[in-house]
Amino acid sequence: MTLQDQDTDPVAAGVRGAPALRTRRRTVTREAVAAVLLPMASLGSLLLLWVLFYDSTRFLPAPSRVIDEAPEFLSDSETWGHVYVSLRRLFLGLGAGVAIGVAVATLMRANDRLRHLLSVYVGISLRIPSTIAAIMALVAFKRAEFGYPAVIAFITFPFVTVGLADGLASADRKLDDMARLYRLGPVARFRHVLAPFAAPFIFGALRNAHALAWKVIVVVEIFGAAEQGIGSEFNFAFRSFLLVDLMLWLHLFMVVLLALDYGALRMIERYVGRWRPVQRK
Amino acid sequence: MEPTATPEQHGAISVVAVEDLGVSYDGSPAVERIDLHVEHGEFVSILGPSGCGKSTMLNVLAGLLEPSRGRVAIAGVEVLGPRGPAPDLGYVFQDHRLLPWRTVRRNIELALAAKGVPKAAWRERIDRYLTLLKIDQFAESWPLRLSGGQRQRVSIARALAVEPAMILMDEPLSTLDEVTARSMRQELLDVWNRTGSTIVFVTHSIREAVFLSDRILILSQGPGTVLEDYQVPLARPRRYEDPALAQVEAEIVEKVLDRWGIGAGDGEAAT
Repeated sequence: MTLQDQDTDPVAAGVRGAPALRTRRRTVTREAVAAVLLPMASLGSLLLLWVLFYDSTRFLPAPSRVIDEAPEFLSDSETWGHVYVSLRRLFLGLGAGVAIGVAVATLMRANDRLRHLLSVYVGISLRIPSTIAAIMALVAFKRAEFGYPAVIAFITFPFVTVGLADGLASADRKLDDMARLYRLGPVARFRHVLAPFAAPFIFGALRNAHALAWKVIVVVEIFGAAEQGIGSEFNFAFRSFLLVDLMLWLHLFMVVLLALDYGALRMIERYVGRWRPVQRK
Repeated sequence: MEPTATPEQHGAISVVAVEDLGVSYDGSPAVERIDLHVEHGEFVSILGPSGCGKSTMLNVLAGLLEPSRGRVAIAGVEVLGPRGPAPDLGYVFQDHRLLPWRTVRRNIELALAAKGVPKAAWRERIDRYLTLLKIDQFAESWPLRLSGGQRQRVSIARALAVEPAMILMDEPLSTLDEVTARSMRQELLDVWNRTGSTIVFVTHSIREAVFLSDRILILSQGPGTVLEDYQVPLARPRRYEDPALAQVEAEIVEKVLDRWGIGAGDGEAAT
């Protein structure tokens, strides 16, 4: 009979410091429920504030007016057309940002000279405010469709680079040694050793980049005077003083953003990280 | 110290043939004049203090490091270092080095794929070796959900499953608690008996080496040279608590006490 030992596994420690070992189904279920209910309660508190204090403000419409117009708003195909346009720009820009970020992180890791060279671009991109980037894109691309994803890629790639570089710096060489000993080829080593190790760091950076990308796309669509997209509708509603429309777009924007983050991204992240032991607090 | 056996005294091709091995880093020798021959089915330990060059020697045997001098061959094929053909061996590390994001079965599949074993043979072979190591029920488990001893058994199963000419084990039991390690030593011998594998086992525990091995290659302090190729004078099966084993351990401690620069004999190499 073997003893159940405390896990101080260096591999586990190297991958985001996961220390624990034991799984307790009852604790997992309680925590899973709390993970859903508590954020919903937080959102509910904001709605409650709106209900309680809207008439103390000058322009905020009553929740009942917004609720009344919501069905027509949501059933309008134009609404979803604008959402689709923003989503397309976001995915293209985010995809390009992740690809560029991974490439830059890999190059910086491989070569000191490249690291010095590329770190300048990473630093500049990290520090430029998204509004300035949006204006620069407008100047460079005028209102070309290419400009929107280009700005998102420019703003988001350094987050992926930095997140991934930090992760790779903590990479345990022992697994790579094992792969070399068992004569895994370079493709197999990348696919089965390096990429899965880097995946949690990429996902962490991706969530941050995703949240930032949404802020950027709306700003870019406003500054770029886009004719389609969520930002363009925000702009139109604001300039036309259509406050109910503004609130409807705000709510829809938040729902889409949260659905992507808590729904798609975190579900994929949980699936990719399903091999981890449940952390006991 | 008794002289080591010469290459001429070995008739058939040895599974492991190390002749006049020397490895230097930036002109500084790590190991010098190492000779070792391991025959098929032998269990040979390499015993030495920390810094004697055991890891260097292992890296050369594994083909990860090119020797500065001498010749190394495994199953008759010369080992030339990273640029040469891969030696036919399995490896068990001090830490298990299983990929945590792949199940036990899929970890072993990776090694089989790299070895070129046909996919149709994978399932049967993996099941066979997991059963041998008594962990077949964990075939679909994630490594991080297993205990340390279980993970090390998976690591041994992986080394066996590629059915190599030789298995290298680099202090595989040193991270386990004593009870688990003791159980694992016996199971390791059972597996060795049943498979007839050729094993080269690195350890810094004299008692462990005496319990497990047919022969012990005793190295000096760094740069490592061979102090003695010691034939363990105990019949099998052996008991870890056997007074005869303790006596052999004491003899070896006496031999190496001064040469390793350690204090009162405690059966362990200097750290």
